Amino acid sequence: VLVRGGGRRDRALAFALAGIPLLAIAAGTPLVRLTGRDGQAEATVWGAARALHEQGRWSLAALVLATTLLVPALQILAALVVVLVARWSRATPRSLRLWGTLAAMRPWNQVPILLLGLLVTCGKLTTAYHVQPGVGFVALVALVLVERSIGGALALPPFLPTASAPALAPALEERRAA
Amino acid sequence: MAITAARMGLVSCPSCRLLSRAGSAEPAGCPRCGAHLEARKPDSLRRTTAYLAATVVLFVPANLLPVLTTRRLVRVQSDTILSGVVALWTAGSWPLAIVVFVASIVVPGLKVLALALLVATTRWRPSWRRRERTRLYRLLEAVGRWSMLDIFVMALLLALVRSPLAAVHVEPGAVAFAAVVILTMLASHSFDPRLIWDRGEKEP
Repeated sequence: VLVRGGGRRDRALAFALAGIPLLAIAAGTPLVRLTGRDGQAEATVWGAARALHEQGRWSLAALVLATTLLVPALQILAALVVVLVARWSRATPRSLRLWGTLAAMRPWNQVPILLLGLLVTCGKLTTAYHVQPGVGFVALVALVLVERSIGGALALPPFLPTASAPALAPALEERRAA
Repeated sequence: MAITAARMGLVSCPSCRLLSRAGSAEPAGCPRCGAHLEARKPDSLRRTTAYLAATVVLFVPANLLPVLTTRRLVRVQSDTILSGVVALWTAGSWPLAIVVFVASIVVPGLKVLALALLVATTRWRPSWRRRERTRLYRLLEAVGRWSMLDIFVMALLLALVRSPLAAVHVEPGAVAFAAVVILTMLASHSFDPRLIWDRGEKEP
């Protein structure tokens, strides 16, 4: 059994553990606060999805929740399982498939786009309101960085349980002979 | 003639990336993780074409129907995606206007055109500019998901602007626009870029 990437594995574990509280803070605390003549308002991810649902746009609400909370949560959870399995035992077929799923989920994680959307929204509202970033905004920035780091650390699987060389060898031999 | 894994009789596992000899393992299963093995994504061109056709149909309401209605005191204004960009530009927020224009209009439009080009050339002119087409696909994969920007802007505006003096309402155009973004992502995902290198070569 070949094992590789111990450093990357530990980094991925640390970032995945850091991602859990960051996601909880980004989801539950205000991303931005508005103060204007007509009072104060604040937006959370959950509140934005609920506002869409209240207007009958449940499909958009589900899309916002899925791409900014559900997928990132599943990614962090999958990264944790993959890294913990790699750390304490041999890779199992299930953990390898989970690693593949982790890569497939990446395009559906829309947290960086939510962050850009937040900046555009703040830019739109600054003429009429006093805009103040909330704790959730800081957590969102940190979450984007953490997710990028997890992606970088797990770009290759944190284990190589069986070498692929035996499978490759006959084909390479044939190629050389040709 | 370009060397490809498929020509060498090798199949890559979509899950754990193990390269194995086609047909060497249990029927169509990865010997390492057990995932289903396919040399190429099944019906890739047909699926991509179907998603693209649905995207083109929804592209019209997504761009012509209002996506957001804003009420300030007694003034009510409905905006399409393009008129929202124009409103930002005329209000002097041109950096924001450029960001929204690129993410919501340029990227989805170019993505549809580029995917249509990839599907058409893979089908009818397979040997045309393979390297450039592969780069184009990589670019699509990288920028495609940024089109969701306007959906998040609308959701946040909805949560923030809710008072007796001002309110916003999300219109059906937003649903069509979200569907366009999702469909282009699915179209891009279902296209198998390895097909670019498969066809049109003369056999030795």
